[in-house]
Amino acid sequence: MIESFRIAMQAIASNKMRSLLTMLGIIIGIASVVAIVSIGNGTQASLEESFAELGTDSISLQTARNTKLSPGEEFTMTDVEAIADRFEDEVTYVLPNISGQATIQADIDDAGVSVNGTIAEGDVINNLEMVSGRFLMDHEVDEYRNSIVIGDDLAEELFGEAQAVGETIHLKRGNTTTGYLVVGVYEAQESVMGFTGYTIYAPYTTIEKIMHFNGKVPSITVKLEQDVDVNDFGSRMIAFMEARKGNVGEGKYDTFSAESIMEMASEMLGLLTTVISAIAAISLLVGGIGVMNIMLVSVTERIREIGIRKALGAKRSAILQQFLIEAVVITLIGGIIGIVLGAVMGSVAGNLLDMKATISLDAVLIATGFSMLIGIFFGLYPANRAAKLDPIEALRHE
Amino acid sequence: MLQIKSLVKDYGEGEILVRALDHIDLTINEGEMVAIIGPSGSGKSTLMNVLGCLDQATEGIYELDGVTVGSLSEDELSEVRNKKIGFIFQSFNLLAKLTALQNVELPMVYAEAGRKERKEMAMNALEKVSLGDRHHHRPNQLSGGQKQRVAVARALVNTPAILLADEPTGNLDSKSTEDILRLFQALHREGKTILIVTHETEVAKHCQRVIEIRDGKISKDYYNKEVTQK
Repeated sequence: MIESFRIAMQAIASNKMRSLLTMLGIIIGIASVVAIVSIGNGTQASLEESFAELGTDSISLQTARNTKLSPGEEFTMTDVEAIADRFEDEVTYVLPNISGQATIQADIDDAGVSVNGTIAEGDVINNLEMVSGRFLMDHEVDEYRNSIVIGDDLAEELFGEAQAVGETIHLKRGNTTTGYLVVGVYEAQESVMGFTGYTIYAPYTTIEKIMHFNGKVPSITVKLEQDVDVNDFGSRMIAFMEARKGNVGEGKYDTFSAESIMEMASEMLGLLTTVISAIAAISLLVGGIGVMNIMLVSVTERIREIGIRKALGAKRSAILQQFLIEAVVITLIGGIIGIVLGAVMGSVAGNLLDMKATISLDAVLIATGFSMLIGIFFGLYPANRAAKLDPIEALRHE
Repeated sequence: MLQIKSLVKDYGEGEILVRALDHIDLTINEGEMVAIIGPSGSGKSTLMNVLGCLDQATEGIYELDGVTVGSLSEDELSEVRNKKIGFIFQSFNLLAKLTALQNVELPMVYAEAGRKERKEMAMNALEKVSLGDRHHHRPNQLSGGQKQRVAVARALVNTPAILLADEPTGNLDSKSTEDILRLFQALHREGKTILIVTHETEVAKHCQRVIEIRDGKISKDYYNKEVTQK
């Protein structure tokens, strides 16, 4: 075995250029698979991180798609309170989602903003980090105050370096323009999808009154206590609401959670990674055929050597082993170079895409094992041909 | 030591059947140095292949050093070649990429001998053919006579029962031929059994016994008076 390994290394070393070219197919194949998998893992990780920021423990109750609700089936503030009462032990907050679009009366680009109605705990619910000032207070919600909290991106756009807290911003909706007092600035996160516009937080009571929702709540967001299963809670919440509205089983309500989007997104990503890897794996197949080709050449070139070895007492298995190990060593070296190259490619791409490419031990082990397997699979036929040679014929070969 | 009885070797089938060896009986005793001569196509190469366990007879019995060869599998034949036979070829058949020492080690590699033992025995064999100082040379750095001496060392290294030399001097000049024949005679004196296939009468004259093959049959079998018996 060790002897066969030495013979294989000698054979590879004495044909460096040819061995390298043969390895190239394997190197490219393994490198691309490793790079793609590590980029895929990195994207997955940063995706999960982004969604974790959105809060994976919250879930929204909304109208199912393509459904028209009769007036009695729409959500109201009483429903919000009812959910808070019914699931008291499981929820941290129940929040009516009242929001709308408005235009800032100032000379800036992207003057359109979305105004989210929220409660005093809205900073916690939305994972907001305050930069200056404070978040909304209970009395501001109760008293329909015109207080708002803006992102630091908007603050910089409007006021530059100057302090935004204490300033007044005029928002226009329809024909009405109202002044709002900035009480705090939060750190705006870059969205996964890129810039999606400015978001302003205001008391939901204020928004409801000004934007004329007439007590109707488009959707309800619930933040859950730890250990409460989001999906399970979602279906119980739908059942509860259907019972309240008397439309059980009609499927008019739906839930929406960051977790469900994340599951969908990572499923898509996983599929994408698999498909691209499979395409890259085709180059591995081509590389394997290259190995087989070169091994056949190697056997033909060394027919006389095989004859000599057989005359001196080499058994079939010894010859088979010699050529098989040669093929495996070629693919294995190619595989190892490919893994290193793939890891480098992955991390370079990761830097360019501003995320951390992670190469897993699994991927390395699978790639190594797979390249060995290619060596065995594509080396077996040439090696077997060598082993089956008739010693007399082989010795006569020029 | 070596005994064949009514040995037949056929090639092909039916109408194109060629009988290369036709009921040959032959006994070679331990310590004999035998030349097998005959014109080309006489069947002497076929006999050599059968005796060397590279090929199997169609009919007849072949016993080598107590082993009945006829019934062996391919792997068992490999083992017989490895342990009991030392080959010396006309074209040396050394592996170009290995050093003289590594070439000599080769039969021991397939005998699965330990690394240290292998080196030691191979070195001894090389010293026996007076090439101890050339052990790290590759075949292309050696003269024809030296190459053939490396081949003899390789044939000796597993202490086989018999040395089989196929036209060993065919590619050598007269000086090297002389060297090799002297080496064979020295080995003969030590009691080695040696079989040389040749068409050179000069070589045959150095052998104690001469067997002539013609049309697949033994036509002559005589002892050289000039060559001293052991």
